[in-house]
Amino acid sequence: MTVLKPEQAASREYQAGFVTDIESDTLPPGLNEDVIRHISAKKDEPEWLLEWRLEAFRHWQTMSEPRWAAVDYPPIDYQAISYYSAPKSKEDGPKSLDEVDPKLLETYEKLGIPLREQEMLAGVAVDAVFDSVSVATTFREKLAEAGVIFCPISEAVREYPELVRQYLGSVVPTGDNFFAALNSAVFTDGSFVYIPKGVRCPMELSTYFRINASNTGQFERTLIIADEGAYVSYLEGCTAPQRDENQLHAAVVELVALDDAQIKYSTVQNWYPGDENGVGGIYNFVTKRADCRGKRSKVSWTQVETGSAITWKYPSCILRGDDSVGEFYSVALTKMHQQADTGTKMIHLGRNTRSTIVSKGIAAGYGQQSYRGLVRIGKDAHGARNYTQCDSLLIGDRCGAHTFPYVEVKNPSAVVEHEATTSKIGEDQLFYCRARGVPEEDAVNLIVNGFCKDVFNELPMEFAVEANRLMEVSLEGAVG
Amino acid sequence: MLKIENLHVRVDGKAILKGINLHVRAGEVHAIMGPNGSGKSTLSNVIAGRDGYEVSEGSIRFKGKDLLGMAPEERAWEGVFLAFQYPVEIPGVNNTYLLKAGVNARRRHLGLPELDAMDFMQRVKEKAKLVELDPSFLSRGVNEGFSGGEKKRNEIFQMAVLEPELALLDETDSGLDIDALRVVAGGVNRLRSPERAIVMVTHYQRLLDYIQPDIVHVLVDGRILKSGDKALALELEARGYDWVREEAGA
Amino acid sequence: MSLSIEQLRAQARDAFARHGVPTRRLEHWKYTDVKRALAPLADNLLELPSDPMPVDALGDELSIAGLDAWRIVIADGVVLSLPDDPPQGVHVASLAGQLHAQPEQGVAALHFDEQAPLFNGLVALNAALAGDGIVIRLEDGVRLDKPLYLLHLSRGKAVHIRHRIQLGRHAEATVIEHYAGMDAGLSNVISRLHLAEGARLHHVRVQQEAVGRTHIGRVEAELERHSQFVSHSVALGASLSRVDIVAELRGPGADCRLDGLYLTNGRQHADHHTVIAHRAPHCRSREMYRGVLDGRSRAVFNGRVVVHEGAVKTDSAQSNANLLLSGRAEVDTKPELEIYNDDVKCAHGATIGQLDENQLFYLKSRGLAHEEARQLLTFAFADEVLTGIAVPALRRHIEHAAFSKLPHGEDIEGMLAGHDGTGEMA
Repeated sequence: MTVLKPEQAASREYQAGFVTDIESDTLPPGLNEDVIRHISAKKDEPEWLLEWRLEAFRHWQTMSEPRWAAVDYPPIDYQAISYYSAPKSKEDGPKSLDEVDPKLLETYEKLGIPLREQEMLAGVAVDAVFDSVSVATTFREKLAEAGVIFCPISEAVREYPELVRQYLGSVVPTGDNFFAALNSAVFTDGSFVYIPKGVRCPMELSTYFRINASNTGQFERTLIIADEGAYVSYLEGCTAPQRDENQLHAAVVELVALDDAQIKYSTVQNWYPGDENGVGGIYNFVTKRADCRGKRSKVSWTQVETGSAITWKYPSCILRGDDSVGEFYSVALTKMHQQADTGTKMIHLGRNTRSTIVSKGIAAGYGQQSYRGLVRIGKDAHGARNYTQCDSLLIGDRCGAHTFPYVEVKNPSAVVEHEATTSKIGEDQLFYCRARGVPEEDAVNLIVNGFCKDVFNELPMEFAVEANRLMEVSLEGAVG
Repeated sequence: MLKIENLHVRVDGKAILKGINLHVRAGEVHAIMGPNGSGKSTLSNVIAGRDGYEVSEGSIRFKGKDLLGMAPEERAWEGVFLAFQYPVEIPGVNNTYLLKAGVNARRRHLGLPELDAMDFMQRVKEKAKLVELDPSFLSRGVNEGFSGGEKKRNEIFQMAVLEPELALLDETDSGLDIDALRVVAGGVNRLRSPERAIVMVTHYQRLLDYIQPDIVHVLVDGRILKSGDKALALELEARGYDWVREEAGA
Repeated sequence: MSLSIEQLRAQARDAFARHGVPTRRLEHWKYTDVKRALAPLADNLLELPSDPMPVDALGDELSIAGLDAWRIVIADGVVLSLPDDPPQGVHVASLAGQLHAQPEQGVAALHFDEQAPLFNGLVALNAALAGDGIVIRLEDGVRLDKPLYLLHLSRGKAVHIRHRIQLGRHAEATVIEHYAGMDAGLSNVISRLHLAEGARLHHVRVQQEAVGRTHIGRVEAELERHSQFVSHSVALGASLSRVDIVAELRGPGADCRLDGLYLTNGRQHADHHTVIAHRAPHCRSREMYRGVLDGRSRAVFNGRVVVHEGAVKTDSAQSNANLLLSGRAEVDTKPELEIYNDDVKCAHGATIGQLDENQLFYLKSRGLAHEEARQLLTFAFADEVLTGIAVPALRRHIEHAAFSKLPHGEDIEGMLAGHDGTGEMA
């Protein structure tokens, strides 16, 4: 008989939980217009961006925190958070990796993200964001040859102001929602990517986010523009040290795909989830949205969400261009006391737009998770198609899995299909594996990984391995 | 090798097996025949360790060890294999990967070095030929979208890879057409060896035309009422089971 | 605990003053603007209804033809007559009569759900103003020999009705609520049903209110151990209709089926919100809602299945399918699952789309004209919901009403007449 003990579920060590001892330049906690002016000045920003931030801040002050998600957490004191923390380095920042603090390089190596190009998996360029700033971006020269811009957004503001000004906030406006407004006011860094017309980015681009300092929030902002006919695959990874307090991560990601452009955006989110009693962990409140502006453009979101105490995240596609395509592939694992409310929105505006949603949720221990999705077919979206498959797997009798799909259709030629199932892990399947000699815990892992396969198949190779590993170790002890 | 003594088993409080005695020695092939509902599948499931069966009396010893105290995977490591009557589909779980996990867990248990991917693939390919299994099945999800015959063939293939000492074949012939039956039986026959025992549970004697048993048992109403040689199977085929019941009752 | 009728009414009026008519800011009213629909009545929502209209021959005219049933006519919210000689063990009373003669029982019938008392303005309004309705109780083991047929004729501005139906252990009944309002205004009806152990209830709502009228319905069913509840909700009329059906599966082995059909055209708006709450082990629920939308109409389906902690071995399946016939129609569907337990098997699905091309081709290859084939398939799509209705006259009535709402429905009805496998269409 399989006995599932919630308190045992996934009591594995969080391997990215160490703290880097590094001297930081950190603003005292608190948020007001002076703090924003200070951040903007630190970044040497133009006047228009400061105004943009202040406007967002003023709007944010009139907004209230969303409470509709099926997650539960005590009120956040936004005045107790520090909005800027950067490792102290030379006045004008590192010119090359040799100038980067060795402790930082070491940190990323420990996380399995070596920043020295010769040591890296060939074909992945990395932007490493440490607390509020980008500390290193690799392979920039090679990318520049292809005309690809891949740099910290703070640098893009200075070097490519026209591009940034044209697109920043054009997908997620400053007042879009409470957390997006906060991010717009205080964002400190993040990655900027521009792929010019007709260029297929020669390598995978990757940003690795690390929260290190305590009492700080991380508010990064990512902007990716794929010009006509361009292609890019972008990977995002995240970790944070093990701390008893909850830390806020409120990022904004904006993607713009013009005619015939394709963006593949993959995330492996492994922020610190808190301990087995639900103490500590990251509040991951993220706004990610893609604008498929161009005809025949395509955006795929793939996410593996295994970390964070609370995840609130709905990577979405606005399918504006005719024949544009949006995809969302998601695996979310909640264990211990983790909570996740995640899903997607597919907004069909153009003709013959298509979208696919595959969501796999696994709840173990005391984990709670919800799929929340919206499929909207506008009046003029003739021939629009959506297919949604949304499955949940339950391991243990203290967890919960919920499904809230919204389907709104205003065009009679649309075809929308939504299917969802929820079930416990199959006893027959477990017995079959065990009868073949696979120990029970491994059998659970096998079945869970099999359950997630449709999503893992969408991940770039490097991430697929990582994702498999995260799922495996995470379930250790789930079966007693 | 396998020694079952006075085995009583209940399912949901209802007595299904009512005192089974069965001794199987290495190298032997036994057939257990009986009508539907006689307890045949219960017997093979209890030997393999499936949940939901309450052993109220008796023992099962395998190579002198108490089998009933072991988890299903421990029984597999000791060398017990069950070819399922209804193999379950496990979507997304690669067939070969499952076997590799099983083989290596057993090797660890036996104190042997684990097989690396190369050696293992070598072994898998050889065995696939044995049961004429299309190599494409190796990389598919376990039984995912397989036809009934393909599932049965996959079971025998798994048996070949896992190299058990005791193989239990639960209604392996059911649902097979004659060609598939020939292939499956051929696979089983090639696995016969002086070190290995095979117990076939079956409804029809059809399978026994292809796999010759040394001993045939008749299981009726939870008891083995009669044992004999191959001739007994033919007699059952010709006369049904009632006469065995009457003879035992008389 | 036991409030007097005055206290209860006062509480309800307070609650209405607090909540008001639901607005679209509320999650469960997000797609349905009932406040706008009720705007013409806004100032006199708290007024007591006027005297009932004279019914005369109207009752016979609007009744379901050929239905052999215990008929009770409710005109403008007033119960006009009760069956003279109900079968032994069947107790039928009017709420007004009970409030007068046995106030305690009347208050009990009117009493609101203690778990969510007066949680929205319309429920509060009903509790404040409902003066009449049917109170029926079946003793243990009693089987009602023919359906109880409640015909609601409403012409008044605002009508509030409260029904209470209680089935004793192993009792069986079929109850049909038929709404045939004739004027603009509001019908606001709450039916509270209780099924004791092993009881079986088939509850059918047929809503054919006049265009211009707003229909608000709420059905709350409590299912004890091994009871079986089948609900059909058919929405054909009214400008705006909103029906909430809540099934609480409280005893092990309870079984519930919620089926529904909405056919809308013009500027009609039909909204169904259902909740199936699994609170006990080994319960089963099935749900199928279908809609066909034409013109500038809009339909909403929100089906929520909740499996509570401890409700192990739950088996639940739900589906919602919609056909849009017009470029200006809109459907909003939300099949929700909320599960707090691992030993469950739940599935749900929603589709929006067109007729199956293969089926269309098949019918055309058998000689049907394109339009005929479309109409036939559209009808078949809708009719599948009605297969669970075992009362032939009732099914015939709904089918006929459905035909007359579908484009060129009369032609198809003529085509099918006498050729239907059940022989019921002739």
